Amino acid sequence: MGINWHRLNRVLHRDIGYLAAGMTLLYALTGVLLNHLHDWNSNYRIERAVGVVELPALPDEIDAPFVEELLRRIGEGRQYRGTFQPDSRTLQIFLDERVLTVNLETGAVDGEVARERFLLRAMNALHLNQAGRAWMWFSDVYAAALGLLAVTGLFVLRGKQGIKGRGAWLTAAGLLVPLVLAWIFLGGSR
Amino acid sequence: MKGTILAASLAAILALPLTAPAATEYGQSVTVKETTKVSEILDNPDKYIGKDVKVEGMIVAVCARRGCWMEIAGDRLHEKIRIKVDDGVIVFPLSARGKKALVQGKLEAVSMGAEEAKKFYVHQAEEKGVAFDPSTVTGPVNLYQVRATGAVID
Repeated sequence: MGINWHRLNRVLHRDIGYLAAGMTLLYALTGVLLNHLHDWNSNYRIERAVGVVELPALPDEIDAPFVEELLRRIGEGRQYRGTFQPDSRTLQIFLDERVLTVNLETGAVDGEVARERFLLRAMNALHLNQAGRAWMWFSDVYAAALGLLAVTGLFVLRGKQGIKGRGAWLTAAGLLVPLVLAWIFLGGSR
Repeated sequence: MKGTILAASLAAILALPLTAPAATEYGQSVTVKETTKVSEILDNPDKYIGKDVKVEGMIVAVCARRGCWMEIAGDRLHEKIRIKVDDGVIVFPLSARGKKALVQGKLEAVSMGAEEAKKFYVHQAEEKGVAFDPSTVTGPVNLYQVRATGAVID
């Protein structure tokens, strides 16, 4: 009464597959999002609006009364975190989620609101292993499960469709493509 | 007994507005005792290159994508210094803009030729959503930044 290795292999592949499905979909989604972070910001939604304000009289040095009057004319409340002048013509005013950039010569106002995409940002952080040691260990276990999934997958089918048939060619192609790309882009052609 | 619990609960609720939100720590602890002014560093960068410094100031910009850099305002008008971290080591939130930060790290110099500097500033401007005229870069640039190991943000 020996072990039916083929059956065991199939059971492992099936059950690890079910367990890993959710995480794999999460990593697949966040992988694409992170690859294209410069094309679409999956961490923050940033909105901008422009306008013009009639400037109050400019003091010699920007002070709180000037900023408060400016905010009143823009239609904002008086509360602000702070201000910064990157140059003599520009004033940045930091509010809660918003930053107002005011041109002190023309009165042009550029308002920016940055809102966190909470769920996507959290998932991106998990993908990048930014969630502490416990997550690091969990993702190590997940990586091991994926390795097991890959190995068991090689032996699910038998015969011509299995690893001794077309499976061998497909597996070799799957290894060759990244190796060739790595060789090209990491200077192997030098 | 019930009266004591009620009184204690009311006291806790009433005390909430008086309690300042705790500062948030990022990365390793800030251990350098003396704070160096940003103006001092920018006036004498060679004195601080490779050394651990502690700087403080209001956060005026944060990387909107990976949170891998921020800029803090200096003590002198119009000045600021860049705080850089390796991706993922510390992630600065965009919500930190306008808050005060205390940062510790090594000062480093990043030397760029004119073309490289143009690309860098154009990229930065895109990240900040502001306009930048590349013709303002006329020669090589030395950028000084603090490679942060730890920060405390109010």
